[in-house]
Amino acid sequence: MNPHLEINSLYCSYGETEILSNVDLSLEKGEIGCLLGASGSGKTTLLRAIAGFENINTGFVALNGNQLSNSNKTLAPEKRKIGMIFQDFALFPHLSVEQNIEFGIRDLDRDIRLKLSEKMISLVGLSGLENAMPYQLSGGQQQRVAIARALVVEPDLMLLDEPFSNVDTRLKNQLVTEIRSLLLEKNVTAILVTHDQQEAFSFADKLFLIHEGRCIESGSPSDLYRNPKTRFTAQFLGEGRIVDLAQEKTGIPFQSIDNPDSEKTLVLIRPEHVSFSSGSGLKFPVISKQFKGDHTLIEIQLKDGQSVLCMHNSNEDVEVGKAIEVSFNLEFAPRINK
Amino acid sequence: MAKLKSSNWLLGQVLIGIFLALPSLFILSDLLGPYSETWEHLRNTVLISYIANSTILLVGVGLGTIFIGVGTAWLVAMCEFPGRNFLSWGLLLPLAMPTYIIAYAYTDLLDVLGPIQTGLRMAFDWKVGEYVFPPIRSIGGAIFVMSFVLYPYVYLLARIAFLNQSGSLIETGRSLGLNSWQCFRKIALPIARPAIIAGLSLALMETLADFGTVEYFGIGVFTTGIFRTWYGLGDLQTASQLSAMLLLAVLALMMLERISREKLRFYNPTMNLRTSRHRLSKALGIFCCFLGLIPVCIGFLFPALRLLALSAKDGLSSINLDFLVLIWNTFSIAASASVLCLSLAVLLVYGKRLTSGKISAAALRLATSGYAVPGTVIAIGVLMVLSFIDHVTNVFVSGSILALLFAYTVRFIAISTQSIESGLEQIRPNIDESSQILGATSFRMIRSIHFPLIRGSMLTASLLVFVDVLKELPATLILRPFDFNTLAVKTYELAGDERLADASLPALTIVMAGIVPVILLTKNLSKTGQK
Repeated sequence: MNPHLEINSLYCSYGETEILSNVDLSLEKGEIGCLLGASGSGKTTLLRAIAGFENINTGFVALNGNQLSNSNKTLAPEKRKIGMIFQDFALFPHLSVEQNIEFGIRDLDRDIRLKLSEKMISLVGLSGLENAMPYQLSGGQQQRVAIARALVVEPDLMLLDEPFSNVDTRLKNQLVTEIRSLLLEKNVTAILVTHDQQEAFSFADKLFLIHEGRCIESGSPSDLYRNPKTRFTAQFLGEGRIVDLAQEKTGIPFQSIDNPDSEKTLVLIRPEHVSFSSGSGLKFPVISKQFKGDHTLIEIQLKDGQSVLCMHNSNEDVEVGKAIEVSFNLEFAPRINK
Repeated sequence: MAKLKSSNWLLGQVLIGIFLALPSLFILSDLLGPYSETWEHLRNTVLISYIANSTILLVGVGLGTIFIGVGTAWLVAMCEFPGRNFLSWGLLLPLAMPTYIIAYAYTDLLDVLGPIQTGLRMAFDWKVGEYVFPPIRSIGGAIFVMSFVLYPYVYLLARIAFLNQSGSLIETGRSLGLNSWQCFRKIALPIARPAIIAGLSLALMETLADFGTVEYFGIGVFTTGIFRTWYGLGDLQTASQLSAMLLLAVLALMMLERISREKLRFYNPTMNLRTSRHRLSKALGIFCCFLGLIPVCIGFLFPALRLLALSAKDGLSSINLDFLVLIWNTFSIAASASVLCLSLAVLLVYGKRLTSGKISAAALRLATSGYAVPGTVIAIGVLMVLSFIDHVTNVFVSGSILALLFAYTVRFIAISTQSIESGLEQIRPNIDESSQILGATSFRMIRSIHFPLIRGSMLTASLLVFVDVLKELPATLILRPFDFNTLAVKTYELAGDERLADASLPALTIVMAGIVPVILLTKNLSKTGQK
């Protein structure tokens, strides 16, 4: 059976410049995906190509088994049944909350329209604000109107272009949870574009790591975090340092890795793999520290000059320059191909 | 000490504000009566036609400017086609053309003896009276020339509004099932509406203020009525009462413009500004370029070329001593007015910055309230104020050059204050505070910090006032001292005598000077990325 959304060998360019190359991506019905990557990686172009705002050179975009874009055709955006939510919410400033929400269902009977918009307004918790104009709403309320407007048309796919980047952290966390629940409740397949890993981890079922116009790796957030297959993924996701344990000069005991003679001697050591342990006999100097609120992230220097990070209770102070005793638990630390 | 200084400044501001508002206040007070026999006569004969003609003009020019202004703004802002870069500023060129000059040029081109009709007669062997040709000297002709000169007001604001609309709004519309045309109609146009209405209000204010075109075409409207009542009947009070009616109409438009600008605040651009324009196919692109060129040609190029051709016929012989005197008169009065406006504007704007109170803001508003008042109305108001002063002091001020300077200041000081205010806004208050901490006196701060930073704005203000004075016709015509002529008045007189060829050189000089503000405007738009 075909996946709900399928992107196959997609290439896209602006003039001579190739923006996307050989992108493959698929999502099942109701699954929430996330295009994660740095600025300029091509993730927004990919989203716009899915929406029909960009033509593609080769490959195809298919939804429900129907090809929407390929090298010969680009179905107009308005004919795709795709909902979009933007970073700036894109609420129509001349229309009230209710009129904004009803905009996409304007061809339905008035009674049905009213019923649907009322239901949606109550679902997103904006009852009482039906007649408010966008400028009278807070950022969070505006975002809820945008999601209601996109959901009311019952889209086959929802695209979210960095929708949380202009709201404060507290509101962001709240909106991430709310919007994910709404999408799951409505069983809507969705793709979020973001550069924020935490946002991606909490929102998506499946991550697609985009770098220089390519999909480097995809999988569930936990899979990609725990078992990155590429060096790029290992470095991009989460905190951590890739350390070469092939040489004996790091100061980390060899027995901590399975087979020191194999090719896979590059190990991604994340802060959770290193713990404070007095009496371990493994002493390393602290070279920097960052206070993070609930913990302090400490960088220690290995014997050969490489460094790793470890977490420490933020209630206890650690001095830079002083040596601390740690132990390594590298059993689940990902091995990276050289 | 500082308190005393700022209170002196405030007093100065209030006095300037009241003095510059006096002409309008005198005129409005005349609404209360008494009404003379002349008023009764006008009421029974021409007043209804003034109202009807003004209404027809307003509706016609309104529709014309919206159609041309919004259409071209949409093309230039949203589409990519050959010539778009030129059109983005070229469409502003008609701003350089005073309405009365384009009226003279088109009369010359399209009248019975003009080259178009003569050419048609020769080509088809027609005789005068045997064919139908729409008369240019008509209300339709006035609507035609005014629409093609005044559309840039709508174009300018509508284009900025379209450019500032978030690209995601249109994309959201598309994802909600609208095609491109529906997106324009249901999203882009309604969002740009306040800007369009603001531009339209400005164009309509200019329509109401026009004197040269309607007088030349023989259309009875308020401005011509005011002029005739004063010049022909010598009844200042009735002229003032007619002016008051016109002023009320202008005030209504000013309110409309202000409300629209207020609304614009809520239609603020979002951060996701439009990054790409819709690239048109080659054939469609060329067609759109042609469409965009039509208003540039009709509103600027054709009349300018006609004037150039007429001037070239006489060659350098037109540049005689009389012409040089005319230039000297015009340039010296324009320069004096621009220096006066600049000095008073600096005083008012600095006062507002220093005192930052409600009174100084009100004084500034009062002083600049004449910006939309038609020149004819200001002239009558100035005459009334100065007649009063003549009467009290026994000095004949109303017939002197001071009357002209007073009128120009009332009409154009807003241009100076706006430029200087926008220049000063760039200097944040913490710059003042830094210089104070470093021990600079107020004088040194103004001389070493503010002046170098607002020098450009001051120059712009001076140039804009200079050019506007150069173009000003009705106030100059009413208030000029005996035997004092300017380029605008001379053009008007020669055109009135059907000596269009002789009028072409002064007219062309005005047009060339009028290009300066267009260049400044274009530069400013490029700087703010709104090209």
